[in-house]
Amino acid sequence: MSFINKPKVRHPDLPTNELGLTRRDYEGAMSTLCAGCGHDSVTASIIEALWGLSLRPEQLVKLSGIGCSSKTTAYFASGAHGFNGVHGRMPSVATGANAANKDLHYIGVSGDGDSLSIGFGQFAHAIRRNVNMLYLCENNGVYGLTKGQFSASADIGTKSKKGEENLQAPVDPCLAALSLGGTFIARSFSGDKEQLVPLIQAGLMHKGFAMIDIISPCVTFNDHVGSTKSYTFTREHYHEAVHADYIPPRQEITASYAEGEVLPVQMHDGSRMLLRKLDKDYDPTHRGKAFEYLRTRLREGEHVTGLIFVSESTPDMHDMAGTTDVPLNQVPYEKLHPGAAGLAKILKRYA
Amino acid sequence: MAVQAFDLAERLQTPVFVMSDLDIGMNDWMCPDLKWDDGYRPDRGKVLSKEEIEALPKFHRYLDKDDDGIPYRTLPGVSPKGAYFTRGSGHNQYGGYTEDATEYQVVLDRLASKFRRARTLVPSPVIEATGTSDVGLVAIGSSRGAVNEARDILAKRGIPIDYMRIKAFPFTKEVDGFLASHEKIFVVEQNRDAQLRSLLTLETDVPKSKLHSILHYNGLPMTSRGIVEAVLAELGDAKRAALA
Repeated sequence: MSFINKPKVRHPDLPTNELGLTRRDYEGAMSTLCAGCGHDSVTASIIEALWGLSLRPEQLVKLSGIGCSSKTTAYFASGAHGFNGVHGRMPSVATGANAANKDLHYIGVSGDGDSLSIGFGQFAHAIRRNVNMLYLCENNGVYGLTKGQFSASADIGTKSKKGEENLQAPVDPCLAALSLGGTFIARSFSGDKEQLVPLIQAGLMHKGFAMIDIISPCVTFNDHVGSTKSYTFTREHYHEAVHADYIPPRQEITASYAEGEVLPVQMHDGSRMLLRKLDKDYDPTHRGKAFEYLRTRLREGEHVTGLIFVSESTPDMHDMAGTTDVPLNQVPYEKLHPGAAGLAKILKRYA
Repeated sequence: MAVQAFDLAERLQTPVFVMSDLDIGMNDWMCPDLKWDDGYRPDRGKVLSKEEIEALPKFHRYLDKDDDGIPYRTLPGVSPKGAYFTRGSGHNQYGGYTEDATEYQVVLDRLASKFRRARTLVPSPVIEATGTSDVGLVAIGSSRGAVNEARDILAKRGIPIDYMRIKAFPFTKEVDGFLASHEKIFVVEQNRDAQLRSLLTLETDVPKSKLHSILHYNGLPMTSRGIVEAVLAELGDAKRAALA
């Protein structure tokens, strides 16, 4: 664990984004997580992604529940409001905040403990509502903050640090999201920044609920032989089926691709995702096929990563509710309120 | 009630629980036409505008600037200077992380002072007093119908009873006043364990001997008969004889 804060100096040659901000402007407080924790790598990817998108920090809202992963919202973008809520209850806070102001960018950081046990109910309904947010499940197979009990994502036959074996079937956040109607479903690895950063960017810009299941090894409690979420196991058995690149609206695609090699996906704000299939059998736009593909590979001991499924045409929560273009918290009271005349009209229905 | 609750929640920056009961929520009731005051404006509480935030040297989320127990808050999307982190762990009055015992206690003490202030902001009880009786009755919520019918019956028998319908917790000073100005007080509640009575003894200095419980907890709405019979039983044979 670090004990010394990084000095607040800035190298004159540090690259700036469109806002004139450097990566350091997207940093937060010093992390108190273990040295080598996967979550700190994810945080670094988030910082990189935010900087690359040139988002104003105050336009971002950081939400989290309880757990080591939920602590990380303090470790990036200190210029953004952050809300660390109670265990498993981040989605409801995100839904309410988003309902009040749809124009901000919401990022919810959670873990396999927070999302797949106590928070499973809220997780499911946020997906169904297609709340416009980026949801990160930093997945290490254990309850890290409480010292290493199995979480619901632990694979059958895996052993805890003390040698206890897990016999219960795992919940796979991606398979769960596929059956719940998720519109942007991805899996990645904290150690693969090249894959993760564009996924975070595309997820933030996706109009709807974007979920990334990020394998993020717990060095202290689940990085041993017998774990299927250790650094070693992940590097050996997790393979990309679809690589996603995020292209901002104003950027031209400079690389050339052979025909049929990439699938471009147009996004709501004019940006694009370029999906490159590493496995030609993979179809990230077909929900049932994606589900079967994941299960089939799993039987062979392979875990699929990348952009597993995407649909840019599903209405999000505000589309379904038919809200105004102006964020609700900026609609003047006089316009919001039907007044005594409106009440009288409603009561007449019951006369 | 919902309107008042939201206003209080934003003024006090604290959750407000609105308590109703199944009888009110699920059954049909006759009531006067609902009215709305077009002059009403919501109280959004102490929220800083963009100009106010930018004018500050630094924003501190939990600082009690006005000494009323309530700090200012900022909304996301307005200014990076207003950003703060609502943390799940201990924080100091500046909104920063702390494990320092003194700093932590400062925050808890401010919350206590805010709760004391809430006593002056929450709804006062509704008191129907004759001014002549030394017998009072305390209740909450939908038992009002049964209570008033019982009071009517008892008044016709020469036993007028003053009535306080408590509308909020923490108790306002009118609650203490009513308890002090009556010698015998019936606490009528739909609760097996007399929790309202317990709350009165914990939160006020009313002598326990003044309070007499009338408990109704068979699952059905209260009746006036139950109240009348309990009052008559308690007030003793002397009173009954006088009524005969």
